[in-house]
Amino acid sequence: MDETAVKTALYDRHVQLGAKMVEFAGYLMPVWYPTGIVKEHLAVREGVGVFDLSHMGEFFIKGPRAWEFVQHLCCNDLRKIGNGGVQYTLFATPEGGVVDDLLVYQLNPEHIMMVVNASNIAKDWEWVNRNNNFGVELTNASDEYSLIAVQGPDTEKVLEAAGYKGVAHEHPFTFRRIKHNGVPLFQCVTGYTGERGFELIVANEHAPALWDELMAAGAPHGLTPIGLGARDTLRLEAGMCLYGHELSDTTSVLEANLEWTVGWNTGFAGEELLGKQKAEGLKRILGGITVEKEHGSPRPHAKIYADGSPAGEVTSGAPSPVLDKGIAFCYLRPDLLEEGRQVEVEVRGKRVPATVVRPPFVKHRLFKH
Amino acid sequence: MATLRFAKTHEYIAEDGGVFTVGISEFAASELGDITFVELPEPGAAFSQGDRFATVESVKAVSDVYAPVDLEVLEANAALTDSPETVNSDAHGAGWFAKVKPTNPAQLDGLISETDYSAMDKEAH
Repeated sequence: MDETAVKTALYDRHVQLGAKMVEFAGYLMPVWYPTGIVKEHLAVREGVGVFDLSHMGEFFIKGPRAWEFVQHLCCNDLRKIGNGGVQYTLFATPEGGVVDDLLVYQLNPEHIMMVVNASNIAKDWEWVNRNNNFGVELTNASDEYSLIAVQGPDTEKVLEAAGYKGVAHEHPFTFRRIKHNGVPLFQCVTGYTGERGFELIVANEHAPALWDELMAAGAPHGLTPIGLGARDTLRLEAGMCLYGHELSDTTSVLEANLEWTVGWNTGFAGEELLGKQKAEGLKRILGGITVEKEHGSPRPHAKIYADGSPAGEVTSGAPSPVLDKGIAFCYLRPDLLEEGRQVEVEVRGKRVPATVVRPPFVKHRLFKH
Repeated sequence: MATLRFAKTHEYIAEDGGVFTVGISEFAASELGDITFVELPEPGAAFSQGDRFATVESVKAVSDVYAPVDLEVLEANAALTDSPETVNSDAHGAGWFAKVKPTNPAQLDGLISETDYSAMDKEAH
């Protein structure tokens, strides 16, 4: 294990719980607990799970032109959210690639927070600084904040038991700055699982107590700690992109089937090239396939064939605990992205039948019922 | 009581009353995490020591399983097709992959004893 890897504020908690720790993006993170990935995954779909996601990066953008700066750098239409709103967006490059995907949190138009991928913190930080032609004040607070996520249909039971107020009424993709027992934190109705859930962003010094309180309050509700392994299968079932797999410096926002995040006519960096791409038509687009259980699961870089000819490549693949079959994100020839289209995919060197689907593989349930 | 011998690549071959079974070690199973799929060899197939003999998929990864000695497959454990998780719960018992006939029994002496395997620093491999 890499001796230089950073321990999150909750490292000792994971070790006490018996987690298998791995180095991920320079952080020592739990990949699974003794519960195991499949049961952890199902706990989030059927009950509730808690995640340490303190490796994620937090940037703050401040100044009279903060809003303008963020709209310039990010492809989504920032006018769609207001103060207290959260938006999924991407740093698109003028060359048609993606620097990272991220969430932006508008405290007010002059103060915006970004949560970025751990693996891209250094690159993103360089990118926002290089593009700061707006005189904004940039702060990389990634090492100061922890992020604890509570996800699953029983999320409110746990949060209410831990003393969080009114959580059942909170709307997805919003956040509040609250004081919980005197501790200031960002209470965000966000997640990466497709389930109802909250993410709590808090200064490192308060994270262990917050975690302990959630674990104690959540125990009667079956709160299960979830590692990065199940986080990956949950986001895959939910059809959510992962940078380094579906997204990269050489995939465009449109190719990633994320046109719903494109704020046309906002003038963001990269809009011109995406407009040209849209007019000319795409050569490939992100879709999904499913493979029957008896064949195993498609894995990243597996080739896809349609009518015997090369037709695409898998970007992420795993067995789906909910569907009980193999699922995968893949780049496909656009004409193939048709629900039910039969193709073939290489699994362990053999071509096996696969069915094209439009992700998500498992429907989102973000609202409190 | 079966005698277990291990390969450096974490397969075992167990000998019990003249019957040999091959599988992956409890250590390997716990390192892989939840096992979701096992591809087994066909009865009658012959493998040399170190050949890919089976494939095991966990949620996170696909791993090859190598023949610990030269062998011929007598019977594959069909129960793993429906219940691959048995490898996690009982790797050295019900989670066996195949009953085999070692075709070069002298190679058995070159494997790692159970005592030495338990003491081995496996993280380094």
